[in-house]
Amino acid sequence: MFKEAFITVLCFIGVYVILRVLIKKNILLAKRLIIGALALTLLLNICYNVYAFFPALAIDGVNYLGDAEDNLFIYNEKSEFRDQILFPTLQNRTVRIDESAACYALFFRTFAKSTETLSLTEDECAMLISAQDMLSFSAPLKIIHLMNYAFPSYAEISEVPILYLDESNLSGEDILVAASDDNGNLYLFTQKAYLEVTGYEQ
Amino acid sequence: MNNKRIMNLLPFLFCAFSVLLLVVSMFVNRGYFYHLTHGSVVWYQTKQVFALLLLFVIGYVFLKVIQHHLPELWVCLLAFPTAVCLWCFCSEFLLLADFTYRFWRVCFLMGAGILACYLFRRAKHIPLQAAAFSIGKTTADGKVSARGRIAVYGRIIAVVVGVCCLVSTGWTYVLFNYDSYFYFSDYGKALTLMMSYKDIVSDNSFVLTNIGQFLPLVSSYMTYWGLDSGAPVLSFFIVNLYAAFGVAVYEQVHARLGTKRAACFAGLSLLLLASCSAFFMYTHWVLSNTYILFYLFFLFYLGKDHWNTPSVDRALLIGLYALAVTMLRKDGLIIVCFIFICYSVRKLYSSWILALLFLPSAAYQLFYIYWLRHIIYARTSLAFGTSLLSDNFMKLVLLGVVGTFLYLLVMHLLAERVLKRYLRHAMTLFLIAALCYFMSENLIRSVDFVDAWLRNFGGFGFGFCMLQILLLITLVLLMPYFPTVNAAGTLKPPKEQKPSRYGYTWFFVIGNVLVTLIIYRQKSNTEVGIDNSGLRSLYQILPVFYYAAMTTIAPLFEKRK
Repeated sequence: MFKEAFITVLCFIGVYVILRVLIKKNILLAKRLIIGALALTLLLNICYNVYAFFPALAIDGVNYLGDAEDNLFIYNEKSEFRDQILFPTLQNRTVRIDESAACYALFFRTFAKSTETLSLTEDECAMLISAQDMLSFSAPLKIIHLMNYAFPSYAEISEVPILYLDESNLSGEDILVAASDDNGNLYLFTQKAYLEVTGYEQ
Repeated sequence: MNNKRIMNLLPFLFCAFSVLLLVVSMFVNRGYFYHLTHGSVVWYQTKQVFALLLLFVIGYVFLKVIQHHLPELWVCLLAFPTAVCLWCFCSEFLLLADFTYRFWRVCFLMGAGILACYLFRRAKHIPLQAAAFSIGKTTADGKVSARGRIAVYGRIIAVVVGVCCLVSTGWTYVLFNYDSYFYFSDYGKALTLMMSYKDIVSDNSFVLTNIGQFLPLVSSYMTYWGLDSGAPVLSFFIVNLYAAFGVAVYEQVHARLGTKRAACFAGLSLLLLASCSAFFMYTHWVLSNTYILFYLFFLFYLGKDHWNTPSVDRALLIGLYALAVTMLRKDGLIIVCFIFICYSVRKLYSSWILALLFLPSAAYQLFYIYWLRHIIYARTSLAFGTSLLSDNFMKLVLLGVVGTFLYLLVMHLLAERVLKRYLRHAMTLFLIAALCYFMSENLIRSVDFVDAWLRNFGGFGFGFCMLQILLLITLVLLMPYFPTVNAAGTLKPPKEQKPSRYGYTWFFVIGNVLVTLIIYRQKSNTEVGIDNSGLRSLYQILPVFYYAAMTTIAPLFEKRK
């Protein structure tokens, strides 16, 4: 790196000397050269920006940082923080919170349209949790860091819980059912899926 | 239809186009929006527009109430950043004073502040200034006619609504990383949830001890509106900065280049700045550095030489923006200290006024540290060494505050008398010496530090911007050797020109770079990658640098007969 920097400094001095001589000899040419160089850097920068930043910025194809579209929500399905889907999902929906997910109640009360409490039996809860294959979306619930502020006890949890969400059936559903297991993993079913699993549909 | 009429219609055409784009975006966004939220995309995006519009109106009304010599155009350009400041200061006041943090309380506080300013103005019998962009459309007694005022307000509203619609489409480029998600966006949401700092305090209050509170409070503003993302606020800021930069360059070169050439030159400068990859990347990134970049440019421009008369409005704005920079990052106060010393060297205001303007920033930072340590007893196990709780940081803040007050009130007299016109040079040398001293403390770490910096300049995301920056520096160094055009329109040989001065502008740029390097050398910042906070801090000065470079090389674009 030091070698590249040294060469850059040498080039810098070289360009300076050449331009200085040119200004003395032929001012018009010097001006044209300078304006041309500025235009060239402008063009190069624009080309680079289009190449590197659009439609999205990815560093080494791994660390996905941004997108040139769909910023109505912070949630971005390609980002590392896919659990941010919770905020738009909760916005206009009622969440029925089972006692097992009571620790998330304050979060839901704040960000969901409304909340209701639900008392599932142990069997029902186990049935729901075992039906996690039905839930098309799963991501580490990194929002837990946010909940650390609300529930300092969560700071003790060493493993980040997983969020399971019935994402593919969200359309048209305005009620979600929240349950949680012993590890704090959060399961969000649509009301329809909940009825289907527990058999209340009949 | 003549040109003037077309110009008058432009804001309305822009507004109509933006509204149309917003409507189209609603149709496009509808699919994924409804699926995820079960809500109305029309209402959501309209709320975004209203949230931004409310901020602009608050800032505009506040600036009109305190307006002294500030031109109408700058009232409009500074309205939004000022409103964001007011929101954050009032929110921070509520939270520190342990009042429940609620939307209407903050609005009430802002309203009360503006009303108090208005009543003060009225008590002093200072009439409000009418909105007017140019002389003309005046009545016989020299006042702006009612029709002229309506036309001006109409154009302002049209442009602002247009920008609000444009940035609410959800199609603007925004970057989020870990910090953006958790420390700014989610933490801002948590504040609306907890409504108090005291409920956040635990054994690990990292967000209170290591994070500037300004940006989370911006995020909580959007959360109170039921909006998930702070992207529209950032996008509005970006548009605002572009406009301010263009106007600033135009104002500076107008007398030299003439109207049309100056407008083209301002456009070119704007294009060069906007295309600079580092600037593009860092301005679209939801981070504190981005907002410091915006406020740093405004702070620089409010201290420029071309404001001939000292005015109350600029002084108040300097105080507000300095406080904003202090709140944005925990090391923001050190930058603010340098800016005030810069103002003192430039003799912007009397030393007492400058000290008075610096007081809110110093008082806030000291009180905040005292509040953390002795009122809520905050603790952190993460990055304690660089937190506001560490003794080293406390010493740095105290040194900055005491040193700045000492310089502003006493030492500037001695320094100006002894060093006279070489004061800026001496100060720059002092900063270079300080950097060398810190570098020599641990040579091995210093080599790592320099190596990391060099690697960062050539890393992903920077493209060819370093080439452009180096070219601009070369041109700036060459400018004294260029013949310029005299009043008759003929070339004036370089020998006849006055020697170039190391003025306020370049002192501001170079000093900021050196202060940033000193701060980050002290923190032993040796990370590599665009995410490096030292690197981000260094690029905060880019708009000021481009402004300085482009206005310096403006004579190259003069018309020659």
